[in-house]
Amino acid sequence: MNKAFILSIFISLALAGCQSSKEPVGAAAGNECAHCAGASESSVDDSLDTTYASEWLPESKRGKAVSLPLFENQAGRQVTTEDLRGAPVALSFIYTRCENQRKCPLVARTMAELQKEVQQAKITPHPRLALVTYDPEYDTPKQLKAFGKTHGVHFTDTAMLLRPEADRKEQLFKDLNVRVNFNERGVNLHGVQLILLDKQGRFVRAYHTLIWSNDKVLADLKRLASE
Amino acid sequence: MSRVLENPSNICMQSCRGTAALLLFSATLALGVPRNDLVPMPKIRPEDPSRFFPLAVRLDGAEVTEVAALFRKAAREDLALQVEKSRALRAVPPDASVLTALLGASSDRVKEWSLRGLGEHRGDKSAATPALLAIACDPKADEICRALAVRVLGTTQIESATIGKLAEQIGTGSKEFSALLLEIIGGAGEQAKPVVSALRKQLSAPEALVQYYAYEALQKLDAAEQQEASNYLAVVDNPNSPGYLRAIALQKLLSQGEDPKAVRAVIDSVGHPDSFISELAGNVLQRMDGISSAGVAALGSGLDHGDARVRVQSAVALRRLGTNAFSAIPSITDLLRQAVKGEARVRETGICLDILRAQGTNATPASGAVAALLPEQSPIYRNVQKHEVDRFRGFVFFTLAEIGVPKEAVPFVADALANSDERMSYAFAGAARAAGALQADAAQLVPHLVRPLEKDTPQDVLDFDEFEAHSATRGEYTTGQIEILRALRRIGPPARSALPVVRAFESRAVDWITSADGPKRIPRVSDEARQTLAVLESTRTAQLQSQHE
Repeated sequence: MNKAFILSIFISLALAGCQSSKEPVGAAAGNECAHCAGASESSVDDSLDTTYASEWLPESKRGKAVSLPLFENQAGRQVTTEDLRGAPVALSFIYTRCENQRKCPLVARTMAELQKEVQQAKITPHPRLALVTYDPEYDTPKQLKAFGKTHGVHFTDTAMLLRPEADRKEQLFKDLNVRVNFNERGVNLHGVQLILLDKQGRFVRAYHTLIWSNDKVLADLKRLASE
Repeated sequence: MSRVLENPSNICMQSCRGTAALLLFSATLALGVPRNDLVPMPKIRPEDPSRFFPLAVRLDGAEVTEVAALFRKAAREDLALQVEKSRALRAVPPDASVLTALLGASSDRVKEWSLRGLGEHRGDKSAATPALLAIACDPKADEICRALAVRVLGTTQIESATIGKLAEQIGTGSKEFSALLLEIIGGAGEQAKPVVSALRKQLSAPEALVQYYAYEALQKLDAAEQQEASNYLAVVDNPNSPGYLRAIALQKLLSQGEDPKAVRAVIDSVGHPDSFISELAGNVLQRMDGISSAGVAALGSGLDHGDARVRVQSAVALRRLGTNAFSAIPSITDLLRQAVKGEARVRETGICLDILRAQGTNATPASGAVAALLPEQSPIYRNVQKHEVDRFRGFVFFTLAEIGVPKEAVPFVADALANSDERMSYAFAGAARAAGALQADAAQLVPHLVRPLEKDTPQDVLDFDEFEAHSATRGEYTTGQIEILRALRRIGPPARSALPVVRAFESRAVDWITSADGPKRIPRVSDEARQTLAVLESTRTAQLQSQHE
């Protein structure tokens, strides 16, 4: 009796919590409460709060593979499109001169945490995690290595900081709709973004505006790995 | 014929005769154009031509040696020792002969300081005339020094011979230098009569600035041709009108703001290829009174002009009209759409935001176009300095707060609140204002909103009166913290979760800014915190009471 009463109160509170969690003004109709959406790691999260993430694109609706330039990683090694195929990819963006602790340093630290969670989850094929610099003109492999190390990134073949070819960066950012702009001195404005590509290199979902939830990204990566 | 076409001044002269035959300006009109601030002055001199600003100058080793030697040559051992000790030129000596001696220095820096000192000198400086004239007449000399020499000569009575030599220098430097020479010659009175014919030639100079200053000089010497005018608009509309006639006619259009054709003509003149005409037209446009609704439409069409100068001046003129610019909202919306494509710049777009704010919720239909300026990758931010980006985005948010925040703007408001650092104070404060405008719909933003109240960091003092102004022009200043506190009040009951933070902030709030100039105001943050606390606590009390009941 007591147990049932306590359970009913708990359920009521949980439901009340979800109802009072007001939907963002810009949320698409029919979105789930964020708590419910992230409640189960195994749940398929198609209807994530689209205020801060785009909708999950089912395979049938994905476009062509994103055309990626040749990258150089933090060790100075070339990373080709082929190196980023065959496994899900989570791409985010930084530049080492960013002075805003709430942007690039936070993005790098969150990616480092994601790396740990991905390793623990033993996802197969192992997702690729990459931080791409907005500023390849300044961010040499040495700069990238120091930045990644400062923020806890453990460099492996599947976790890397990348520098696109400078003359192709604009096209890459345009293709991926990356929220960044430049003046003659470099980056003058940028957002927070994480982009998911499937095993074929096709765009699936973007997290943006606020720093993403690693739980949700991990669930997405699992789902992409199992496709 | 081809030679004529190759030379714009020839075209100008030919058409000038035709125009002059058609439009004769009366002496009254001519004399009725006083030296006023509508007319751009030569950029080579300060606004107040009587000032020379001889500020202290630090010298390098070679300059110290040279200056000390020149002082010694002028039998001023005291000054030589002084300069050797201080390695700088500071207080201007009262003796003009000492300054004159320094005019022979090889260093432009030393020469410039001496010229500025002579300019301020109130006693007899006739002995300096040969040295001043030598500098003024040396086309290879630094133009700043040449211009200063001309201006110093203009501070005394100039002899005819000197005027003659100065007149020969017209055209040997920049157009600004020529205009300055004409200004000084025109002020020389009777001594300048022998150079009247040389001045007349300048009426067909390629640059309108030079033409106009030649015309003004002739006016002062009572040597301008007496002409009568009947149709200023025709002069301005005629692409072949000479610059000085166009400049005079533009000034006369100042009083014709009720005529949309006059407004249109002035707007078009802002886009004139000659910068003097363009700047003068801009000055006229900003002073035109009685602009009718048809004139507003003309200004609205100016926002679509391919020339950025026209867009800016049209926007500034519309802003001056306040709520009377309401009918220009569709044109403003079009300009915002152009801006999103990178075809209008931050400057005119920011001014258009000012116009929209003045319309309040009447401008709500434009809110979508305003929000479309927010994506970071928008071409409008290309090649804009970081601080300008911050100010512009702050104004975008602030404008949305006044006209209505569409749902697509909310993620950007969240971004500015959650991710701004202390270098993005305008974006943060503007976003806080926008969050407040969302009222209860901003509940999800409260955790991001209160962040800056949790630590005591100095706040930038901000103004949101006018985009281009760098101080509050009429209203009050604000800070990020003040905007947070106001936003929480407007959000009301859903902001109750902020109560502990606000309470802690209120207990330690320090009014580190307590005064502002004149009627401008900086609100007291402690007062704001108390008001917010009162609102949030009253909603909490009401909630507790309703629960109890």
